[in-house]
Amino acid sequence: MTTPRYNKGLSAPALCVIALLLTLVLSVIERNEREVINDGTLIQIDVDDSPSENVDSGSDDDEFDIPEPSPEDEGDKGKITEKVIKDTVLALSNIDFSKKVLWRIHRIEPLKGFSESDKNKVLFKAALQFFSNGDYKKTHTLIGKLPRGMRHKERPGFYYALALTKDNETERAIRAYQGQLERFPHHQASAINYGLLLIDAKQYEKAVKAFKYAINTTSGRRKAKSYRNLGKAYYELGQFEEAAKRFKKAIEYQPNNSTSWLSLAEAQRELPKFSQKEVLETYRKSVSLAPNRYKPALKRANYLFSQLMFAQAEEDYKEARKRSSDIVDTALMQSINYIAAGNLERADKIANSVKQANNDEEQLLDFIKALSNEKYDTAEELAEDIEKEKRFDNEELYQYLRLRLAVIQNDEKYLKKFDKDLFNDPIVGWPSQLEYARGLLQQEQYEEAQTIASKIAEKLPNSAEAHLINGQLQLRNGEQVAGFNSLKHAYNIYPESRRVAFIYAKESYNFERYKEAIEVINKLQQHHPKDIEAIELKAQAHHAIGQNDLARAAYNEAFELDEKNLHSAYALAKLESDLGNRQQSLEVLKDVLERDSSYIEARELRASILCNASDYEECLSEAEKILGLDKDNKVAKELTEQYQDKVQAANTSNDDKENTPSEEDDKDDKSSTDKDGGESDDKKGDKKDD
Amino acid sequence: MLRTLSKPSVWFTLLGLALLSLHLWWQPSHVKQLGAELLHRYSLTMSFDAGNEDIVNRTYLPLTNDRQEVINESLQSGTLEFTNDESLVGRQGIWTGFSTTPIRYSAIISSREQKYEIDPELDIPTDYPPHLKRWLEPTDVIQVNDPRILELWMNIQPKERKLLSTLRAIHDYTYNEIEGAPFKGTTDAITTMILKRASCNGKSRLFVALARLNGIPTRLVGGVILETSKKKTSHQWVEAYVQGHWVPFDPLNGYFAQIPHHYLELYIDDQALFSHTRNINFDYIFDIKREHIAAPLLRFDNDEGAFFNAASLLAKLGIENKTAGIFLLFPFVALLISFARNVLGIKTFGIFMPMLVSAACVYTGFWLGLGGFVGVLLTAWLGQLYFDKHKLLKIPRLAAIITLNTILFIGIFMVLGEQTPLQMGMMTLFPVVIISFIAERLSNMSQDNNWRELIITSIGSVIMIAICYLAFSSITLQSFFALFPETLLLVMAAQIFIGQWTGLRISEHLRFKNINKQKNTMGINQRNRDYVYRLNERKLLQLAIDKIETKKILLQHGVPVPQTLDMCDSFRNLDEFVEHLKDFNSFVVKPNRGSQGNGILVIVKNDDGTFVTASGKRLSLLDIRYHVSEIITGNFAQDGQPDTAYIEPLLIEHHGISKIANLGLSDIRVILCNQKIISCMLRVPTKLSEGKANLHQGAIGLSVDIETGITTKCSFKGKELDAHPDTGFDIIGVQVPFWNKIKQIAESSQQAIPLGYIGVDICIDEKLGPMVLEVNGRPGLEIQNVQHKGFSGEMETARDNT
Repeated sequence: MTTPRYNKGLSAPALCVIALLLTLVLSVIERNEREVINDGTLIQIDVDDSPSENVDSGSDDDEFDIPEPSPEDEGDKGKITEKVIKDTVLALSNIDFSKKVLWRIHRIEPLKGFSESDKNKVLFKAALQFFSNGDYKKTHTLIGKLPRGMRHKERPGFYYALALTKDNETERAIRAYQGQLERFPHHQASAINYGLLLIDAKQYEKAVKAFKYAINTTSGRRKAKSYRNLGKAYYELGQFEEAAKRFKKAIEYQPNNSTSWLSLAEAQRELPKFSQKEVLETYRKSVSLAPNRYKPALKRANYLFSQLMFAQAEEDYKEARKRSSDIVDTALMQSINYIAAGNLERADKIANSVKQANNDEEQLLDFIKALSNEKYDTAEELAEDIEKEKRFDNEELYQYLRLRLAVIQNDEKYLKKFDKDLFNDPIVGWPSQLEYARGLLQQEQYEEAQTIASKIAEKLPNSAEAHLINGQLQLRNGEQVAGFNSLKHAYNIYPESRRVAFIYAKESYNFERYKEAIEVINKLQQHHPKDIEAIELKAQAHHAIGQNDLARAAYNEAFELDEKNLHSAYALAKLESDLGNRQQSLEVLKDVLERDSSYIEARELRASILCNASDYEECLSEAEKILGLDKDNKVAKELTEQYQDKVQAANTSNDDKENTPSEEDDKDDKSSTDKDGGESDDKKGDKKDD
Repeated sequence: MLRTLSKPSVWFTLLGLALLSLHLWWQPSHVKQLGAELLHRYSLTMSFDAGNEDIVNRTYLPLTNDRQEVINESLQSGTLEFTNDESLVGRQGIWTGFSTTPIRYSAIISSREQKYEIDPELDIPTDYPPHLKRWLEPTDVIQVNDPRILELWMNIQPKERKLLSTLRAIHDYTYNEIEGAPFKGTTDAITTMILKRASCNGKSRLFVALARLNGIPTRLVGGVILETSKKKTSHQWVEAYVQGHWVPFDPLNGYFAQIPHHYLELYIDDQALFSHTRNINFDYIFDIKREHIAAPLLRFDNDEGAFFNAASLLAKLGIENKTAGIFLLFPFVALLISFARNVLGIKTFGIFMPMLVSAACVYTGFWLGLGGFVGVLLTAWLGQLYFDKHKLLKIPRLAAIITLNTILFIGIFMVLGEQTPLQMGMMTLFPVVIISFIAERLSNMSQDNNWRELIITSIGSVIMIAICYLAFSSITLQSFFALFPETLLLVMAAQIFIGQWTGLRISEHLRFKNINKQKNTMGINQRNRDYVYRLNERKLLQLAIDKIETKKILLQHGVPVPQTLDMCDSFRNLDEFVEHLKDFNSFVVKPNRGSQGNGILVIVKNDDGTFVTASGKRLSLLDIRYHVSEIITGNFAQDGQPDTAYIEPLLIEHHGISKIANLGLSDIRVILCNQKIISCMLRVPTKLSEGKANLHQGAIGLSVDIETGITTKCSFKGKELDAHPDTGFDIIGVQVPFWNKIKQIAESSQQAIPLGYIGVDICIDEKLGPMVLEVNGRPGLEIQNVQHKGFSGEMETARDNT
């Protein structure tokens, strides 16, 4: 038989040995893993780590953490003097060492006579010197040249990464920090800087991880910082709920940090579960914690503006302006807020006060100025210029203002092609919707306007403006009850607002709710005692329900408030003439015409009163005067045609009589200054009415 | 070289390794994630007896913070309404309404140790933010302003009034000077001071009182110590405010500025853990288990590489992490089993039974699981014995055993009650059906008195269950297969390798130890892969099993076979068949597809309707009828399918052989490969084998020289003999009669049934001469031991020559 060769390859015992070996390896690993108790953490609380509870850095961005140098290598101070380091820095500044190898650098003059390791120490100190001089490129190049043993120590490693960061070498910096954290997992500053770097590099998901890690290793102020930035990373990722949680945590560790409060507020406003009130309260906290920082106030104001609470926003903008006199952002928003609130004078003033604006801001400011001075043609020209720009900073703000211009101009075309993306903007979103609704209101597209307005009112239940426009539109759409409820609601939210109250009163008047109108105006007068328009409206309302003497008193009040306001006087005269008190009416009119002889309406009224009183001559001369002022005045012409013949018929002693009335006028004038006579007339009028 | 490497196992290995290294290169962080995590299964059961009233019940539930994490929560509130009230002091669960069932809350908690290092130079601050003022105020049980507290402080204060030294002094006093005592109820600070004995809450209050006295904001924290136990005790410790940190202290167990990993924090401030409606017989118990779980089975939600984690996919389907771990290890454990069977040669009951049993054991714990398995097996076996006595047919008998096991489980549940509902619940996972089949085999073995085999198989089973259990509970393997599922390709490669491996098994090394030095032994793996699978067609193998059909074909080719007198393949003609038996004086009843001589009934004499068997047992016609019906049912068939019973005339041993053995019919096994006679032996029954010519059952194997037909060596149960153990006849050097004819018959049998590798069993009748009893497509290998010679080389030559 030939030699058997059946057992090819591995035999069973060999396989068993392999299996045994594998089992052994497995059981060793298994044993080690079984013994694992979840890693503990060690947190060091040091003296110098005290949270800076009262001092605020003034900046909103978290800066990179640079720990105080510890006195680690004091021992060899004897040899490495300041002078050596200085000389080294000087020598290195003069040569381009980036392409030289380390041993060549070691040969420079000041380093002669030192041992290898001392040379490296000197070079590191030189690198630190470069760092403090702001020459980050040189810093990281130099540290990068050091041998691994030196480079991978705690401080060199840290400064290497930091210098890379500051030199915008993001990728390399990230790797450097990763290495540093692997070698020194408890180096707090590295952990934080790594996260901040990732946030800067917009790698938010990684930043989340980095800060989660940082939280476990840091303490005190740094822990708060870690939480805050973890929150920031979540915020950027759109996870606002998580973000808010972390900001709260940061506040827990450092309750007096205004940045944390501000970030919390920003996160809260994105979350529907927080009410406007809570958000505002959080903002307020942030504002009050940092008395020198404008950002919190500005952000709060922007929030109020975006919520259509222009009046409250005013206060905060003022505060923000006070804190940051020179910053254009604030002024820009402040003036826009004034425009939105309808306070054009202020808007103009603020816009004019801005200095050091850049090009785009300048253009926007000009636009604001044009709007606030009601120079709408100029505004349109400016708008064309702006639209020619390819890129425009504050595009949304401009869009909002342009929309407003269109609404003022009642520019149907613009409204039709208006890009509704603006409605989603965090700041001007709601305000532009409000404007758009107003525009539609003007164009009597009530139904479309109504849908927008009711949405605004529903989403922003605390905004008076929202309810106001909603109410107005509801009235236009025939929902009288709902409309007045909305108006009343708006009025209740913000009774101090002149605008709200007046529109409420006016609508009440228009819908013949005179008493309501009067009531509102009476209250309005408490806040704005000099509002003539309102008083006139009140007078009209009084007149409509027959309270004529109250109406009269109101007109008088209006007139007395502002002597130049002849319209009130005219209205009073008209009232008197309607009531049949010709004499009083004429007296008032005379007064008016003395102040403004070109007041045509007043003259028209006078002429018709005179004619009705059969004083045709006076009447016709008045008509002539009117025609002198305005050739095509119909009223005057009609009067002339109607009464021409009557004058001629009674033209017997016209020359004598022509002069006397003027004298009488003078006398009347004197008597009308005597107030008793006027009052007694009023009393007579009362009796007649009764 | 390249050709030898071009095998599926190599390809799979390369693919697996390539993917693995790609994975490691892409996600190197995954290596760090391998490993265990210490977790606590925390469960709180609250029971009450509310009568018909509505109840209100509040307690604090764990919440996630810096150092502890609640991973998986579940709550059974019954009909109660549950609200979750999260506030600064903790997370309170509130249940209201009417219910009779207990509330059960459970969660998996991961927590860790936290240590603080406080700079010794730190001063005690004089002013704090307003929200901390609350933690400086005295309360009814923390009497900060009591003069006795001040007096105590005067006695224990340190020399230098720094923050750390102050805290150290307070801690040392409360830890060392106050004796720990299991007081129940509330102990206030003053009482603690006076008694100098207190439980955790008294010590903590005294600590707080002293700290607040010193102007350090301090608060009590309540929670539970996590340790594997069932208990009612909660714990209280202290936290002091140091520069924005709440630093923990435990004056009972002596943790200074440190909180150990197994403290579970539940609430802050001095308050009760439970509050509930009065007089409702409220009771509660914490049940905490500590265990290690492979981290990748749990931690995949916040991980970049979740895509790779197979467990995360399973978790999405709602599979619990433990089950997921088992699922992922099934292929590996199957590999272990194939290794054990094909390389080691360990025998078990059922092939994959150990895998299923050990999987169940993972839930119940090893000993409980094994005990349960043995219990089920015993019940099944006893049931088998009982039902066998009443002659139940096979399938109804199995069904009855399953019922019996179910009754057993219900009984266990009733006895154990609610104590370990989950564990016992998992016991039902036991593959009861499979175990019932095993019980059948068990009873067969015990009936055949094959005790040695039974014990070996039992031990093998237990060993395999243990190994599979170890593999299933290995955290390393679980996490590895979860994070690196491509490793399954390597497992597959190993399985393919074992499938192609034809070496001798370890058990065969022992079995053929006497002939192994020749390096010519053929093992079962080799027999199956190189000969049976390669040379023997499936169809012919089926044919070889069917004896009636085989005999027909052999007869057609002129091979002498015993005559088939009658046969019966269904119950319809059973009566007729049995009736027919009366006509014969002696006969043999055989199952058509039986194996190893099972089910063969030899009747030597017909004594007027009473039949006498070879061993002298007397049987009635009814007994024979039962036996036949069992054959028809398939009880003796190799595959358990319905079978045919047939009768042959009783053959009479040729005198040339009966002179050495007269205890039953001997036969000659001839092994052929491609028309070449490889080996042959004479099998002689003994008393031990009960007249059967089967080596397993104790027959003698006599090796026969192929050329001459003279017996050369005798092997009996692994020993060499010269004489018959029962009769003492000399059995070496006997000439087998008709030897040349026998060889010729064997060769023509292979021509008739062209199995390439065949074992032909031939017996020699006194009158009719040599006849083929049956052919075997998978002849055993024990013949090598009988011949004292392996035949691997010869087989190979024969195979490759054609």
